[in-house]
Amino acid sequence: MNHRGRFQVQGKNLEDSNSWAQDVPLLAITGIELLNNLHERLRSSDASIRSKGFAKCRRFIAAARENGGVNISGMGKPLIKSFPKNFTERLDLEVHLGIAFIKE
Amino acid sequence: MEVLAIGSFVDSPQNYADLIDFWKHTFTSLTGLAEESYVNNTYGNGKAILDGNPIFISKITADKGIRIIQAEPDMEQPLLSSWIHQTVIHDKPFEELVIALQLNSETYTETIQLIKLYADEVLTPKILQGINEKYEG
Repeated sequence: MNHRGRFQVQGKNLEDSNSWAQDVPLLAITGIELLNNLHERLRSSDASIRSKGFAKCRRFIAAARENGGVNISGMGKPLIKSFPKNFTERLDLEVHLGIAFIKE
Repeated sequence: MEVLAIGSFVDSPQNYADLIDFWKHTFTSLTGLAEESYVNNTYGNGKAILDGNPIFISKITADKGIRIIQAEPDMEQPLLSSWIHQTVIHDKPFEELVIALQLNSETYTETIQLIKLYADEVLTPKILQGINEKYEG
Protein backbone atom coordinates (compact mmCIF):
# COMPACT_ATOMS: atom_id res chain seq x y z
CA MET A 1 0.00 0.00 0.00
CA ASN A 2 1.38 3.37 -1.01
CA HIS A 3 -0.48 5.55 1.46
CA ARG A 4 -0.27 4.68 5.17
CA GLY A 5 -0.85 6.30 8.54
CA ARG A 6 -2.88 6.18 11.73
CA PHE A 7 -4.65 8.05 14.46
CA GLN A 8 -3.91 6.57 17.89
CA VAL A 9 -5.21 7.31 21.37
CA GLN A 10 -3.04 6.41 24.34
CA GLY A 11 -3.84 6.46 28.01
CA LYS A 12 -3.24 4.80 31.36
CA ASN A 13 -5.74 2.08 30.51
CA LEU A 14 -6.37 2.77 26.87
CA GLU A 15 -4.84 2.15 23.47
CA ASP A 16 -6.94 2.30 20.33
CA SER A 17 -6.35 3.42 16.79
CA ASN A 18 -7.79 3.91 13.34
CA SER A 19 -5.31 3.42 10.53
CA TRP A 20 -5.30 3.59 6.77
CA ALA A 21 -3.28 1.62 4.21
CA GLN A 22 -4.48 2.04 0.68
CA ASP A 23 -3.43 2.49 -2.93
CA VAL A 24 -4.94 5.95 -3.32
CA PRO A 25 -4.23 9.16 -1.36
CA LEU A 26 -6.32 9.69 1.76
CA LEU A 27 -8.87 12.46 1.33
CA ALA A 28 -9.15 15.03 4.11
CA ILE A 29 -12.82 14.18 4.53
CA THR A 30 -11.97 10.50 4.97
CA GLY A 31 -9.30 11.42 7.50
CA ILE A 32 -11.90 13.39 9.46
CA GLU A 33 -14.25 10.41 9.32
CA LEU A 34 -11.57 8.06 10.66
CA LEU A 35 -10.77 10.55 13.42
CA ASN A 36 -14.41 11.08 14.36
CA ASN A 37 -15.06 7.35 14.35
CA LEU A 38 -12.18 6.85 16.80
CA HIS A 39 -13.44 9.67 19.02
CA GLU A 40 -16.98 8.30 19.05
CA ARG A 41 -15.76 4.82 19.89
CA LEU A 42 -14.14 5.93 23.16
CA ARG A 43 -15.88 5.76 26.52
CA SER A 44 -17.41 9.14 27.28
CA SER A 45 -14.80 9.98 29.94
CA ASP A 46 -11.90 9.11 27.61
CA ALA A 47 -13.54 11.03 24.76
CA SER A 48 -14.21 14.04 26.94
CA ILE A 49 -10.68 14.54 28.25
CA ARG A 50 -9.36 14.34 24.69
CA SER A 51 -11.94 16.66 23.10
CA LYS A 52 -9.50 19.53 22.77
CA GLY A 53 -6.85 17.27 21.25
CA PHE A 54 -9.33 15.88 18.72
CA ALA A 55 -10.42 19.42 17.84
CA LYS A 56 -6.80 20.49 17.29
CA CYS A 57 -6.22 17.45 15.09
CA ARG A 58 -9.31 18.28 13.02
CA ARG A 59 -7.99 21.84 12.61
CA PHE A 60 -4.65 20.45 11.45
CA ILE A 61 -6.35 18.26 8.82
CA ALA A 62 -8.35 21.29 7.62
CA ALA A 63 -5.17 23.36 7.36
CA ALA A 64 -3.41 20.53 5.52
CA ARG A 65 -6.37 20.28 3.11
CA GLU A 66 -5.86 23.92 2.17
CA ASN A 67 -2.13 23.44 1.69
CA GLY A 68 -1.85 20.40 -0.56
CA GLY A 69 -2.23 17.83 2.21
CA VAL A 70 0.81 15.99 3.55
CA ASN A 71 3.18 14.15 1.25
CA ILE A 72 5.64 11.54 2.55
CA SER A 73 7.75 10.16 -0.28
CA GLY A 74 9.34 6.68 -0.42
CA MET A 75 12.19 6.99 2.07
CA GLY A 76 10.94 10.31 3.43
CA LYS A 77 10.48 11.27 7.03
CA PRO A 78 7.07 10.58 8.57
CA LEU A 79 4.81 13.28 9.93
CA ILE A 80 4.20 12.80 13.66
CA LYS A 81 1.98 15.02 15.75
CA SER A 82 0.77 14.60 19.32
CA PHE A 83 -2.18 16.26 20.99
CA PRO A 84 -1.72 15.60 24.72
CA LYS A 85 -4.11 16.23 27.56
CA ASN A 86 -1.30 15.31 29.95
CA PHE A 87 1.62 12.91 30.08
CA THR A 88 -0.55 9.79 29.95
CA GLU A 89 -3.64 10.76 27.95
CA ARG A 90 -3.21 11.87 24.37
CA LEU A 91 -4.01 11.53 20.67
CA ASP A 92 -1.23 10.88 18.14
CA LEU A 93 -1.28 11.28 14.37
CA GLU A 94 1.31 9.56 12.20
CA VAL A 95 1.54 9.69 8.41
CA HIS A 96 4.17 7.18 7.38
CA LEU A 97 3.90 7.02 3.62
CA GLY A 98 2.20 8.69 0.71
CA ILE A 99 -0.31 11.48 0.49
CA ALA A 100 -2.95 12.33 3.07
CA PHE A 101 -5.57 14.99 3.77
CA ILE A 102 -6.00 16.32 0.26
CA LYS A 103 -9.10 17.97 -1.15
CA GLU A 104 -11.80 15.69 -2.54
CA MET B 1 16.22 35.42 28.59
CA GLU B 2 13.97 37.43 26.27
CA VAL B 3 12.68 34.46 24.33
CA LEU B 4 11.21 32.98 27.51
CA ALA B 5 8.79 35.89 27.57
CA ILE B 6 7.36 35.06 24.15
CA GLY B 7 3.69 34.20 24.63
CA SER B 8 2.13 33.95 21.21
CA PHE B 9 4.12 32.77 18.24
CA VAL B 10 1.79 30.90 15.87
CA ASP B 11 0.80 34.15 14.17
CA SER B 12 4.18 35.82 14.52
CA PRO B 13 6.82 34.60 12.05
CA GLN B 14 9.55 36.55 13.89
CA ASN B 15 8.68 35.03 17.26
CA TYR B 16 8.46 31.60 15.68
CA ALA B 17 11.88 31.97 14.05
CA ASP B 18 13.37 33.16 17.35
CA LEU B 19 11.97 30.12 19.15
CA ILE B 20 13.34 27.71 16.55
CA ASP B 21 16.79 29.26 16.90
CA PHE B 22 16.45 29.13 20.68
CA TRP B 23 15.66 25.40 20.73
CA LYS B 24 18.40 24.59 18.20
CA HIS B 25 20.93 26.45 20.31
CA THR B 26 19.69 24.79 23.50
CA PHE B 27 19.90 21.32 21.96
CA THR B 28 23.36 21.77 20.51
CA SER B 29 24.71 23.34 23.70
CA LEU B 30 23.45 20.40 25.75
CA THR B 31 24.35 17.51 23.47
CA GLY B 32 27.15 18.80 21.25
CA LEU B 33 25.12 17.54 18.30
CA ALA B 34 23.86 19.37 15.25
CA GLU B 35 20.12 19.22 14.71
CA GLU B 36 19.06 16.28 12.52
CA SER B 37 15.33 16.13 11.98
CA TYR B 38 13.59 12.77 11.65
CA VAL B 39 10.06 13.94 10.91
CA ASN B 40 8.42 15.88 8.10
CA ASN B 41 6.99 19.21 9.18
CA THR B 42 5.76 20.67 5.91
CA TYR B 43 2.50 20.61 4.00
CA GLY B 44 2.22 19.07 0.56
CA ASN B 45 2.70 22.48 -1.07
CA GLY B 46 6.09 22.83 0.64
CA LYS B 47 4.93 25.38 3.21
CA ALA B 48 6.32 24.86 6.72
CA ILE B 49 3.80 23.83 9.39
CA LEU B 50 4.21 26.56 11.98
CA ASP B 51 1.97 25.37 14.81
CA GLY B 52 4.64 24.46 17.36
CA ASN B 53 3.72 20.76 17.08
CA PRO B 54 6.60 20.10 16.95
CA ILE B 55 8.74 23.20 17.23
CA PHE B 56 11.97 21.22 17.42
CA ILE B 57 12.97 17.67 16.47
CA SER B 58 16.35 16.00 16.34
CA LYS B 59 17.89 12.59 16.38
CA ILE B 60 20.39 11.97 19.15
CA THR B 61 21.38 8.52 17.90
CA ALA B 62 20.35 6.40 14.89
CA ASP B 63 17.31 5.07 16.77
CA LYS B 64 16.52 7.77 19.32
CA GLY B 65 15.32 11.33 19.14
CA ILE B 66 13.82 14.30 20.91
CA ARG B 67 10.59 16.02 19.88
CA ILE B 68 9.53 19.28 21.53
CA ILE B 69 5.96 20.52 21.21
CA GLN B 70 5.46 24.11 22.30
CA ALA B 71 1.99 25.47 22.99
CA GLU B 72 0.86 29.02 23.49
CA PRO B 73 -0.35 29.86 27.03
CA ASP B 74 -3.40 27.76 27.93
CA MET B 75 -4.67 27.59 31.51
CA GLU B 76 -6.48 24.31 30.79
CA GLN B 77 -3.33 22.40 29.90
CA PRO B 78 -0.39 21.34 32.10
CA LEU B 79 2.64 23.56 31.66
CA LEU B 80 4.70 20.48 30.89
CA SER B 81 4.01 16.87 29.95
CA SER B 82 6.64 14.42 28.81
CA TRP B 83 6.64 10.81 27.72
CA ILE B 84 8.59 8.18 25.83
CA HIS B 85 7.04 7.25 22.49
CA GLN B 86 7.88 4.14 20.48
CA THR B 87 7.36 4.52 16.76
CA VAL B 88 8.74 3.33 13.44
CA ILE B 89 10.97 5.33 11.10
CA HIS B 90 11.77 3.76 7.73
CA ASP B 91 10.40 0.44 8.99
CA LYS B 92 12.81 0.38 11.94
CA PRO B 93 11.91 0.85 15.63
CA PHE B 94 12.58 4.35 16.85
CA GLU B 95 12.22 5.77 20.37
CA GLU B 96 11.66 9.42 21.13
CA LEU B 97 11.44 11.58 24.21
CA VAL B 98 8.52 13.93 23.66
CA ILE B 99 8.23 17.11 25.71
CA ALA B 100 5.06 19.19 25.41
CA LEU B 101 5.34 22.53 27.16
CA GLN B 102 4.31 26.10 27.62
CA LEU B 103 7.60 27.94 27.80
CA ASN B 104 8.71 29.74 30.95
CA SER B 105 11.90 29.66 32.99
CA GLU B 106 10.74 26.69 35.06
CA THR B 107 9.62 24.51 32.14
CA TYR B 108 12.79 25.46 30.29
CA THR B 109 14.91 24.26 33.22
CA GLU B 110 12.96 20.99 33.37
CA THR B 111 13.34 20.52 29.62
CA ILE B 112 17.09 21.02 29.83
CA GLN B 113 17.25 18.39 32.55
CA LEU B 114 15.12 15.94 30.54
CA ILE B 115 17.20 16.34 27.38
CA LYS B 116 20.46 15.85 29.29
CA LEU B 117 19.23 12.77 31.13
CA TYR B 118 17.79 11.22 27.98
CA ALA B 119 20.90 11.94 25.90
CA ASP B 120 23.04 10.41 28.65
CA GLU B 121 20.69 7.38 28.77
CA VAL B 122 19.94 7.83 32.47
CA LEU B 123 16.36 9.05 32.27
CA THR B 124 14.24 6.57 34.28
CA PRO B 125 10.44 6.20 34.32
CA LYS B 126 10.51 7.31 37.98
CA ILE B 127 12.34 10.56 37.19
CA LEU B 128 10.01 11.23 34.27
CA GLN B 129 6.94 10.59 36.39
CA GLY B 130 8.29 12.83 39.16
CA ILE B 131 8.71 15.73 36.76
CA ASN B 132 5.28 15.15 35.20
CA GLU B 133 3.52 14.97 38.55
CA LYS B 134 4.81 18.43 39.45
CA TYR B 135 2.73 19.82 36.60
CA GLU B 136 -0.45 17.82 37.06
CA GLY B 137 -3.41 19.78 38.40
